[in-house]
Amino acid sequence: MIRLQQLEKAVRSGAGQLYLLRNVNLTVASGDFVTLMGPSGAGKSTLLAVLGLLDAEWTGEYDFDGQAVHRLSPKDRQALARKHVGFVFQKYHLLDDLTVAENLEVPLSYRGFSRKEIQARVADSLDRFQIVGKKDLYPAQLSGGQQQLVGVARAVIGEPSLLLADEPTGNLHSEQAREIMQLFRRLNDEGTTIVQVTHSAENAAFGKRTVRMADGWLKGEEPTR
Amino acid sequence: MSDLLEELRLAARRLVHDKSFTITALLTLALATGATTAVFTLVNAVLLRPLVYRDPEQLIRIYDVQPDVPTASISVPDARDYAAYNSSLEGIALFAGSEVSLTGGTEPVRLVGQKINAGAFRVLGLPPLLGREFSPDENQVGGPAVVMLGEKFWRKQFGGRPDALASTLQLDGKTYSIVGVSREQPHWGGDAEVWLPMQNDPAKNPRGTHFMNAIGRMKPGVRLPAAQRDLERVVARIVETEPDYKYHGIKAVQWTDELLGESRGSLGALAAVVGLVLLIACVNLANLLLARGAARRREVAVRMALGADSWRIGRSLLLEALLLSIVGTALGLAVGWGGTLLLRSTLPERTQALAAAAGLDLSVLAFTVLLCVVTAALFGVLPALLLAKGDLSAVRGELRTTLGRRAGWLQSSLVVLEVALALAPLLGAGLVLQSVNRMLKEDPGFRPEQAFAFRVYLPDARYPDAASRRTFSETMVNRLQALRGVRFAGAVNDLPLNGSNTNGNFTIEGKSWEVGHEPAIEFRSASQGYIEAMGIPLIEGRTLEAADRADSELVALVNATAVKRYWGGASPIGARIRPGDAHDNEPWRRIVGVVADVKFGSLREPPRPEWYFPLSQDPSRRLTFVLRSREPLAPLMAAVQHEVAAVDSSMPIFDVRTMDQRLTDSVSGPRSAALLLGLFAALGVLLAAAGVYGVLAYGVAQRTREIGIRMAIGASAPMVRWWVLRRALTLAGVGVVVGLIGALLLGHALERLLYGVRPADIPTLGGSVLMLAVVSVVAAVVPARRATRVDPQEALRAE
Repeated sequence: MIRLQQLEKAVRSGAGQLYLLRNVNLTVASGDFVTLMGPSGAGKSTLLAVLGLLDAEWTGEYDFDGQAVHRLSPKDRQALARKHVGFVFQKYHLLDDLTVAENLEVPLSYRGFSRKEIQARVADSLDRFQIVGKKDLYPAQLSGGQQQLVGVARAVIGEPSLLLADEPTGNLHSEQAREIMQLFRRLNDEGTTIVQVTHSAENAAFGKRTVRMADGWLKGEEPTR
Repeated sequence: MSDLLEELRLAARRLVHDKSFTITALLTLALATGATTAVFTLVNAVLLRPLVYRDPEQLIRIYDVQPDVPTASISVPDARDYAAYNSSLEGIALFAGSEVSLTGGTEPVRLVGQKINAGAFRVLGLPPLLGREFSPDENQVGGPAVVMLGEKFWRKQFGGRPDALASTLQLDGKTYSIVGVSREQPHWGGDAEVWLPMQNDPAKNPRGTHFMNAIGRMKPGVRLPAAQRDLERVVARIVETEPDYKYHGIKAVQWTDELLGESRGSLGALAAVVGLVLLIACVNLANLLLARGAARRREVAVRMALGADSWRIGRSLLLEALLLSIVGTALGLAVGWGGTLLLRSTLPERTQALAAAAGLDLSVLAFTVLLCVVTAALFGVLPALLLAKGDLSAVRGELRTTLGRRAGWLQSSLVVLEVALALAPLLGAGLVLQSVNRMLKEDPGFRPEQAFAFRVYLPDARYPDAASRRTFSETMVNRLQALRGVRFAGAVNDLPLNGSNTNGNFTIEGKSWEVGHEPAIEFRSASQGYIEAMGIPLIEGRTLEAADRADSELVALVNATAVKRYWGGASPIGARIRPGDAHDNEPWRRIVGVVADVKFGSLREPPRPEWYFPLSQDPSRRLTFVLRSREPLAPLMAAVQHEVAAVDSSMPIFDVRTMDQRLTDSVSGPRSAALLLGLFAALGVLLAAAGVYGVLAYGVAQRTREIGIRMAIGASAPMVRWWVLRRALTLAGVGVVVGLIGALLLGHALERLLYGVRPADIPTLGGSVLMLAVVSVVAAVVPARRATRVDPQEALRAE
């Protein structure tokens, strides 16, 4: 599904350049569940942003589902991301002014679904994530675990083939974290490819393999189950 | 479409949630668009709306030109010859003011009348609303007693009934048949309640008697320069038969230019100032949205991560701006409606008639809608452009809520722009206010306190000759003088600061002047007691006395300016003068006194040479009685009507005002301009102050950590306070420098309104700059105090 070859990203720093990613070669097969681990500043979140097509300022090759991302225009990259990628954030990043149901509608509205279809999908999603009772509440009225549940529901409502999660349980206590990771496992079992960034070995254990990073380099990988 | 509606709904909800932002934004918009709409309504009514006449660009005002009088009215022979000899005009409309009294009721009522020639309305291209206009035979001397009614008077008097045409009207005791009703129009004798035919007797109206106003309609295809040349040929032809006429010229001006000229300057300046205020409001809103955008940066980034493209983000921000703008402009319309009523009352009298017709018409509505879209675009696009670029780092790692260095620079630039824009209205208001003060400090030449005046007009029918007019004025002065508390009472034909005036050439015995350059003087006819009632100082000789009778020696007073100009400052007592040129056979009059100058036309005009003839020797139909009292004026002002009725029960009195009131009213135009400019300047300064406050408050909030660090390493509270205040002063300072050019330009645009003060008056400029600096510092006080209250530990822990 994903193939990165000699991917590098640098930012200008004073007179020289600071490399955030160096010679990254990575393949992620469809249905994989990859965990990126490493110390702070290793380049995990940066790599996640590149994979999610949020960041276009890098060199090297990136093939996504057979399409050469490095040759796509910004508009086409955006369209590709819209169709295939879902994001889960550490700080949930729900839209404060919107209710739970409206937060779920947002990605669908950007994908051009009709109003009727949006309503049907949101109803299904609320049902599937068992948050029907919370649909009219605002994010501020939910606990952290509930907010992240909505964040995951929002990430997958457009049925993305790739789900990217940046420290998805970083702000949750252990019980809530375990529930979210079990949810990820279930989604992966249903066919969604997942790449997560985490510091937690316990969370990494829910994935299929772990890729270690340091100073922008990939330092090796190991299977986790 | 449903997407758009959904986005609109969400935008509305966001605005409702963010109450403080929305209320600030709406108030700003309502005030700015309200002010703009009000001013545009008047500019549209006065300057832009086409005149009601057919092809108004073909109408020209025609003036006789004399060596000392550049725009004189024309005489009966002039009108006859212009009409007979020109080849460029379709026709000439003539009109002359005439005051009449409506009699036959319980109380006589003074009506505003105009005498016009046959076909005048046809020339103007303004057919009567009802009936017909006067025919040539009705314009003959001794023609039938016919009258046309003005539309407003017809509606008031006859309830707008068409059968008014079968009725008659009693004017000055004589019965007139109503033949037509004129359409309401604000320009040409617009306040006329009745129109009477000009029945001029050529024998009694020689070439030298100028009293008619002329408006010509150029033939299709003829333009002003061609008409001017043609009329000059007409004058040359008159000179062929009357050589003395060679000192006369003729001047044709586009009538529309003349009508609008008076208000064009002040309304134009007002429109410019209001435009600046609107711009300040838009800049302020852009800044508000930028600051709000910083808080929304995370939301925008999340939306982009969820698949929104730049267009969607930009569109939602613009929709929000548009929504604000629509609601703000709707509120602004209400403000504008109230503002129009307020502004209308502050315009010059002639322009008020134009503005009275000003309502909310389609063009004003279209302008407001355009204003709405333009303001939304102005204040919405910039933040939308910045935010729609979407820095996705906001969704990764720690969230930063600033918009980056570029946006910070942009915010500061916008505040500088606001301050720059606010300087011009401030300077303009200061200059005009200074002018009004200087005018009011001018010595009018008379003592206005404890005096009042009222006017009457003696109609032909009851006062056909000099004797009857003399009897009326003498009887009235004696009766008024006898009233309890009255120190002096007198009458005059034309009162200072009252608009009407009479002047002409005169001859000094023993002095000769080059033909065509005879001395000119203002003619006053005054009764005994007038000089004293007005409190005009006597410089030499005596004032007018009861002994100055019709059959006694003809005498005159002159003023100080006349003495200086025509006698080189030497005493003129005993010298003899007479009206007209050297060859006219008017009788000589001996000068018996010299009085001080008075400001006649307005407080800003320098005094002109004047003479005063005794009213008994030169009776006038137009009379103003002046009373000086040692007791409160109100009871006396109420009593004079009774005194007039005792002499002539059909005589209405009008324009009863104290002299203080007349003095104040005479500067009402510039004072209104100062008031309006001051209002808009205050609004501009307030908005600019809000801008300075917003940027500083936002800056302090964003730099809490920096302030914490500074305090942790030893900065004291005054140092932190100065750090914030310095930023305010820097912004204001740069703004002032940038704004100076615009301010000076506006000062020059206002030059016509200024008196005794230059457009680049340094004290006023300094005062305006100081005021902006002070306001900026005041706006910085709260953010500065907030900055000093930052707890370094808290600030650093939060990071």
